[in-house]
Amino acid sequence: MRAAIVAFALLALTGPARASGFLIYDASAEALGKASAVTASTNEPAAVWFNPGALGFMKGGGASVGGNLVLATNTFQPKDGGPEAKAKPARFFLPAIFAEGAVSDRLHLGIAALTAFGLGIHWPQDWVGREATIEASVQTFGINPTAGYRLTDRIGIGAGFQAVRATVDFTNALPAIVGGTVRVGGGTWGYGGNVALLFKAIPETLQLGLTYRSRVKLKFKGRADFDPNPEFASSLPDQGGKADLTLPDIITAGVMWRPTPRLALSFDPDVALWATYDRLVLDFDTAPDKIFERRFHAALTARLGADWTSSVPGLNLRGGLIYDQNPSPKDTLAPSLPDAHRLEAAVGIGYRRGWLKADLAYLFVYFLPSESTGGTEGPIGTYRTISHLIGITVGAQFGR
Amino acid sequence: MVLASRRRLWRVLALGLSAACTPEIGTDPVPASMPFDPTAVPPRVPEPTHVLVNPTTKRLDFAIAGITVPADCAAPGPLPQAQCEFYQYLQRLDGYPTVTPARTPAPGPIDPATLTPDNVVVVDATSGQVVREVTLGFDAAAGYLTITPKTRWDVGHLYVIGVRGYARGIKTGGREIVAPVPYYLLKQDSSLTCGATAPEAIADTCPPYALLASSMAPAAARTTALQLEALRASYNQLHTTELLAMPGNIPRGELAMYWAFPTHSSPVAEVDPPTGAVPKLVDANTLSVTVNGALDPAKLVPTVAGKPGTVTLLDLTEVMAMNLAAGLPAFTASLQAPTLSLKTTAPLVPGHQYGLFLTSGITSPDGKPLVPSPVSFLLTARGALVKDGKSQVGGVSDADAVMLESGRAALRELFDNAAIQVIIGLDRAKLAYVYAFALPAGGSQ
Repeated sequence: MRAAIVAFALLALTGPARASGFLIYDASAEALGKASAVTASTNEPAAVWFNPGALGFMKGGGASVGGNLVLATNTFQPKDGGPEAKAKPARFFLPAIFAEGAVSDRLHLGIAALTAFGLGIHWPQDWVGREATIEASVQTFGINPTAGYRLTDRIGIGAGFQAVRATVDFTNALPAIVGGTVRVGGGTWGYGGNVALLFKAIPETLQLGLTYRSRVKLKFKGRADFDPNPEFASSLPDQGGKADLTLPDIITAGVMWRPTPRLALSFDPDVALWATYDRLVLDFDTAPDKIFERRFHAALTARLGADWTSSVPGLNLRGGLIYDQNPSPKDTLAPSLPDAHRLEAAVGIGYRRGWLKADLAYLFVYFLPSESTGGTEGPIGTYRTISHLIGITVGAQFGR
Repeated sequence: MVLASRRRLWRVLALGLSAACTPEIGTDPVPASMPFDPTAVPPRVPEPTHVLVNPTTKRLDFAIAGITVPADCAAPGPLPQAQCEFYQYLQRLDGYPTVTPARTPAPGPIDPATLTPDNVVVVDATSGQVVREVTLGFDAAAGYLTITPKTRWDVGHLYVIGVRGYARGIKTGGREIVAPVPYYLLKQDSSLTCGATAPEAIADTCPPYALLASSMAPAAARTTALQLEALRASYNQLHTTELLAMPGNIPRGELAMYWAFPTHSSPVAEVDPPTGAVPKLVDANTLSVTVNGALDPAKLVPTVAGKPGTVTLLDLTEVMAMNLAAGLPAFTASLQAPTLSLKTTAPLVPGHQYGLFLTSGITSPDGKPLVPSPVSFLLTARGALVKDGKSQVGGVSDADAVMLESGRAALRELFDNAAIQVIIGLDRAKLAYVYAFALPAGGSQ
């Protein structure tokens, strides 16, 4: 009876959030201002992340510190016409620190420490989808030592290793008849690598970039804290558990064209191979496994960016547009991450004086209304999300 | 203001860096649950229960519990003869005997400090009063919490018993005790079948059914849901939880276990030596018996030689010596409720053994026959109460069975002696009270 009640209770348990919204690619304010379409044109310490193939072309060294303040509002309108649910407005900060320096004329080393994946959402305790999600949080912190090498005057390559520390923390309501909630949390380390290429077809005028960042397998170990009505406590004991989650392979390509000396235009088509997230298996110590079918597919992101060097010395103005595809099928869309196709618009400003550089950017993210049709991973209805990213980066660059 | 802004800034920064720390997930203490397993052999459920009253016959019916009671207890069968006879006796009643102790299985020894009248409450649903004259205990051998009336239950009453658990109630080893899952369901306000009255009509999405179906086959879950719903409805009909809330003072949410049982509506003269329920020798000529329930005085007819009545007093010492004339002392019977008195013409003889017998010919004013209490019945049983030192009757301890068996064996000679029966006419099937005692040489009993 006990194991069966555990299985029953877990019918409502959603897995970790996942999707391109969970990947926050925009690791510097300079990049964010031009929609992070920088694979072929990065020239800042954040090149360690965006394209280490560019490092070999960079002189001297630099470092930057900053991050993104993420603000988001989520609402859900049930299909059956029930009351709209509003998630608690989300606010979280994703830091990023970069450092790089030339070791020789051709070899450049760098390191990145950043939170590239992260989310948090908090639905009302009594909302219609409470058995799917009340609170969901995924946080990662990655360290990415990287080397870049200039093969020729036109070709640079780079490679790196990344170690990712990840934690998850989810709270769901248990089925109404059982009552109460279950909180599942855990942490792990995962490892991966990245390689990159930069080809300067016409140096500083037409450049091409290509990067590959490998999948990262995260084998979470944690605990589940069941807090049902007391009658079910002996059937639902707190216990340990495991779950595997694989962050996707990410391939970015980019082209930068500078039609005039002051204006750089860039276009990046990126793809996140989310097929790594086909299913999620929650393996509890005593309870039977719970399997969530996800059936994610690869998601394409198209980025257009512009960077205009103003007539004011050191001042750059930027802008960009993004189309971001939703990797989640409608029938498995869950409220832990109510993802959607997105339209995004960015603006930014950068100023450099001597060795000091500061950048500020804003990204408006409009999630197209996203239908959930399955009814098994959450309620049937339509999610609407709007988010804002405010990026700020302060850096120092020497010898360039 | 600036300070607050800085704090907020540090808070969001801390959020960003907190990935390094695994969330602290606590471990909660697990309370114990009151056992409830109707499928166990024997079932571990609260006893006695109104569930065994057949709604059609209005009699106790052990077939409801899956126990088949043979019509002929002397024929070889799965039940010992005495057990079979005892079931037959109970099945003639429309409620439980008035000396029946109540009990419910417990998850462990109950902490004595928590075994209080506030936590284990008996409500007389018929009178609407809390019954305070009960003794609470824990039967360590059986693992049962016991509730025993200090004297007896009233005839024809419905009793409701509630056990308070959770934070304010009984505990075992310091742990809270909570209701088992079936009782959690029974306490629900809404139908456990979502209104369906047939198994196939229960919707797959009906939450109680879905919960049950997580631990058993769908067909069994549907049947169980219907059974639980029937039990929930019957408890509602008896206002069980309302009575335990007021006047019982145990809110429904604190009930770890509850149940209800009726006592039979026929009058009874209990025999229960531990509680003093035995005939009293008032003086050398007068015996008195306390009766539970009203009697019709006109039905008190003393037995005289060759003419059996409803009240028989035997001088067993004389009878066994086949001195039958002296074995039937002359007496008159009278009733001053609740006491039935026998006044003999000649003083009772010190040192002699006497037997007092009442038959079902005695009735209540509305015609309900006097019924035997369990001890009286067992003394008239044809089957042995003990085999190899073990009691043959459920609910009777080995020690009690041995003691009763000696009395049964002695009386058997009386009941089975055709010569004696011609004179006194004691018919086992009609006996409603049996008690034998020796009058001490000093004359007091």
